[in-house]
Amino acid sequence: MGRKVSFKIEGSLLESEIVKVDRTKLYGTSEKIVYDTNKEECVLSDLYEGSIILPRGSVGQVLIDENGNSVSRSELIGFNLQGEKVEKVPSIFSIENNCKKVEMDDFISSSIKSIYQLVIDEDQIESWKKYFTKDEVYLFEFNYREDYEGDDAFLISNEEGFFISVGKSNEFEYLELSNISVEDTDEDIEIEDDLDFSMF
Amino acid sequence: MIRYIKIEDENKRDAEITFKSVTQKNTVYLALENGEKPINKKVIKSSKDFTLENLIGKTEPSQEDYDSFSEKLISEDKEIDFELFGKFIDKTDRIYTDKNLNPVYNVELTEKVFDTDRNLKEERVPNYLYSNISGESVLKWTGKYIPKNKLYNKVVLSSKYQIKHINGLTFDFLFNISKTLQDKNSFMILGGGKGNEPLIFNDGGKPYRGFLEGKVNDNSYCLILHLSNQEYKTIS
Repeated sequence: MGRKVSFKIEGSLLESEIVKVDRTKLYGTSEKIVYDTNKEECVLSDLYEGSIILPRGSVGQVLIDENGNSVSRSELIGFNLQGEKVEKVPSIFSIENNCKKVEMDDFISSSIKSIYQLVIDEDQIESWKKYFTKDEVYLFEFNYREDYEGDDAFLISNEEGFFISVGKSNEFEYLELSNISVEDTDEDIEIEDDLDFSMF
Repeated sequence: MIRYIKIEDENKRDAEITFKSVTQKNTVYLALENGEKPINKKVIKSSKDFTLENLIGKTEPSQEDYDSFSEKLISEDKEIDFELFGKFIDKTDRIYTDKNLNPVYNVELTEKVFDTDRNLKEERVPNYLYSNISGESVLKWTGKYIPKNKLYNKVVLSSKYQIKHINGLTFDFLFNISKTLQDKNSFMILGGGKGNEPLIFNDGGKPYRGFLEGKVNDNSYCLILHLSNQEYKTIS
């Protein structure tokens, strides 16, 4: 049995396990395989200075300070954009997660990067359902592990079950006639696999 | 580089406008106690001639080979490339190599498709997808409205693009689209290609379903293209 997360919703304490919903578990996945002319599978390697082959795993990442000394990640602490130290945000598993009801539009405007489904004990389902009768959406701060910055997480439900959508809230700008756009855009979009999207 | 797309309205008239991705930057950064931000560097840990297989001298060593090599490894430090180990590097190129780590110049590409249990379903010629939102392509007004409260918990609205006008005429065009969508309190599915296809933003990119959301406030508008490639479904 997995660890449970505690949610405080409108004064009530509810519990559930959570399971990450990986897209590949819903739709499968695909991989591109490269063969040489002998039908042997090839691997990607790095080529340094045009002649030195560095096989996969030969290049690492290190942090150094301004004097060139190695820095361990455990030495680092969090600062906000004003340069002030910030406290760590606890893991969702170690606290009662206060869930605040928010407007559906707040949820819709957020960029979502991961989904978890709730695995609720059979005898608790009815307790959960009564907080999700009118398309309610609840917001709480999400950190799987203790860290310096949490994400925005939204609790929602549908006929399949209950879900946590983890991402970042956005604030959009309303554009007037004078806001003519000449800004630079934009980065390429990448997702994990390239199966056709077959949801409709 | 500014990217433009052409988009239709409900009267099937199209206009060229621009768009910008919406992302929130992190509000916390990591630094040393004194506030100094460390520098991230790429460093060489090994090279072609110093892989375990090369040091042992076999492409597929047995457990016995590994065992007998361990002692040599401890006593001689043979795994370290003293010329390159620890060298900071910036840019590298990516190449395909064979099992002996020699460069490969001619390759054949296939695509393996796996089901949700990771069983191989088929092996096929890769399907290269071309962008269907750029150039002469027009994002089609499908007329398929979905009320917000019917969609918000059905599909994962992962990425957002804000659509923007580029002149006075396109301001009116986008304002009217936004008002139509706000009045209906609905998203509208935007289609690529002939109108019913998912949107592909870049050549070789991935397909997404596009949902247009519009809001107005006095004389201003906010038109957002939401992209999705996943439904809210549970896994067993």
